[in-house]
Amino acid sequence: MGVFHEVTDQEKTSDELAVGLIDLAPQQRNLLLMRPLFQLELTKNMFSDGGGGSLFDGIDTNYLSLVALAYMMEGTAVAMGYTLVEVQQYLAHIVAHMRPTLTVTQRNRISEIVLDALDNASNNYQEHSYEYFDSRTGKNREVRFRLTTYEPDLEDTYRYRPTAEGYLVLMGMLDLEVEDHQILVERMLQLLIERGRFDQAYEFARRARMLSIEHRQLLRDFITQAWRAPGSVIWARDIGPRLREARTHIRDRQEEDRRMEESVREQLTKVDDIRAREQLVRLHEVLKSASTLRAQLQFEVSGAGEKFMDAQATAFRARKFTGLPDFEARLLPATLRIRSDRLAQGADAILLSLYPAAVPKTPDLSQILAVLLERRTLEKNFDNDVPGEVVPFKMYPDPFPNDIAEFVHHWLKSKFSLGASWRLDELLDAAEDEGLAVLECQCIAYALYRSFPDSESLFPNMHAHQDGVFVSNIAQGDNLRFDPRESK
Amino acid sequence: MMASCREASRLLYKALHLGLSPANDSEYRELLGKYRADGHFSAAVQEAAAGLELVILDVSERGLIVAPASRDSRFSLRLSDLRQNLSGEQKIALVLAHLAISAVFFPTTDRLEEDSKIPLPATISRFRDTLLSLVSRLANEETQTESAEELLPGWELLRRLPPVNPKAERASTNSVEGFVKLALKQMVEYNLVRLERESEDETQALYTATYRLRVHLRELTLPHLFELTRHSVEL
Repeated sequence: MGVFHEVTDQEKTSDELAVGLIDLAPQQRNLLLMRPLFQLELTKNMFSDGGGGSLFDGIDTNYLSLVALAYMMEGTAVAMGYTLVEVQQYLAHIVAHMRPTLTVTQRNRISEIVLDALDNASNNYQEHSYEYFDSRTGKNREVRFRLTTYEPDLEDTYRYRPTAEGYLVLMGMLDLEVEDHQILVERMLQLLIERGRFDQAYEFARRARMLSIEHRQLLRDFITQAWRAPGSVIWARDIGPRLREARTHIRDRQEEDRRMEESVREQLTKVDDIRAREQLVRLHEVLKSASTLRAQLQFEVSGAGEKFMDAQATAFRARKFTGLPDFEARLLPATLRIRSDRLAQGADAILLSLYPAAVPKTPDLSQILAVLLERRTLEKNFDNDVPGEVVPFKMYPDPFPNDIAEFVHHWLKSKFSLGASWRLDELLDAAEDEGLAVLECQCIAYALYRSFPDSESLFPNMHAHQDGVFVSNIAQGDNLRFDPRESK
Repeated sequence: MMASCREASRLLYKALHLGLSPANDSEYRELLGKYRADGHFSAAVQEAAAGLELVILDVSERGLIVAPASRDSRFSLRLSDLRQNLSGEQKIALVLAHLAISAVFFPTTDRLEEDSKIPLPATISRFRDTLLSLVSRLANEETQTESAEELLPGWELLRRLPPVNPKAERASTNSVEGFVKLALKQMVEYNLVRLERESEDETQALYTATYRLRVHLRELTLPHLFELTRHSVEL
């Protein structure tokens, strides 16, 4: 959930400073939420198609971004979202409509870039973060948000969903309350069923069945937790509301199932087409299996109280007195509440207290470099009488600034994304032809050498081999050939 | 006397070998028996340990568990042994991942102290979800305020991280799951956690805590954590 700051009473005292300014916070929010989309549209021409043209020629990135979010929203209706592969394939399919001449690799590359932009991949998947002027307080503030979440479902399959902010982008400037998306999803499904789309009806029934499993799982989780850590689960807070939800779910679904079963039976008498009949039989089976599940859920709902009491009983036995609070329920939350600066101070001690005495390892080359570059703090009780020489600490500036390193990484990634093999000297020639600066070419050579071992490679889809030697005015030495890896 | 010194250092030598178990080593078993039966010998072992800047945390039929007496001890782990070039925020996330893993195995003090209560095996998703659900619970409980980075609570730093990096193939420091995997990998290497059931699909791999983790948490980490949390409340 992104943070658009509420103005506190204390802050309102500065209202006088901001007299005469109009409050445009909702409009600013809508604009900033769109910024990742605009950024992609602005920078899309940086991506080359490998033949001198732009990969994104004739591609509307705004449409692609919105359609990606819409597709993810659709995914939340039938499951808990769509997987990375499903979203990528769908986008690649849309790209093919926009520009049919693109190759499959290029379509996939475009869908990957669009998803990366929504995910803020260039910034390590951190939240999107922008500054804005807050007219209510007269100060510049920062807003942070995500447009998508990538989280596991109950079967631990990772799926994409739009976040609350993602829904806002999708609904554009309507400025609807975020909760309304649920209503949108339900209406969409209702429409599908009314149109006699049995495949979708099947998905809907499957989802309802999944919900029953979710309710069962949630109840079981709480009972297990009550058994693992007696006292950490409170009936009124944790189990009671779940039971109420489960009961409402059972009641609503039973009514819905009855209607659906009736309509399935009715359709079965009318329809002659074999395929349609098969779909209806499949739907009927899911409905039947769902009602069995709900009977089990009903059974667990009525037995939950007894199981909870059994688990709680284990809390009432004699224990050793140590004075330490429970770890999961008390100490861990308390640690998470500590301010970062204090937590950072204590971090080393906590971590090292957890590890056993170990015989020091032989350092590898990168460790030696890290030790050489480590700058130690001056000891407070420094003894001036000890003979020795004070040598100034020499700073070695990073030869490649971050923006150059990032640009080079993207440049190389776009070359490798085309699916062909490249040699180091060919890439340096291509860089010179495209007018890259000397420093950028040096950075290319460095990045490629660094990527020689697979364990350190910046390009996990490529594998490097030594291939003769090369000489150029940037670097010389063993030449490297990068081949695409066989996909699994 | 000479023999006693030799045996005392021999026992410490065995204790420093993380993969060694008295069950498979008769000399280790005999030395442990002597430690428990012979007061002079146990004093000699403790003296030798102190000389090496080690402290004895526990002795049982499972072995002698020693820890470095301080961070300056030659036997103390360096943070760079776990991961190099960690920023302050990454260090905090790594600590919290370690603690979440430990809390899944030993949720209550009761479970930590009763040696007969064997921790339940768990998967990576269990560790990750324990941490994520705690973060989201704290986020719901506490009002959001705009503060400087260093004043933010630990949960807020974790909330900013994505739960998982869609393209990460190995443990990385840019998602909550990445930190959990990183912590788990190190804990396995240092014999704090054992891979109970391997699986090609890493989400199905089951991990369990070793006795060593129980002892370290009980004797060092949790008392230290308790002091830290109490101190932070008092400040």
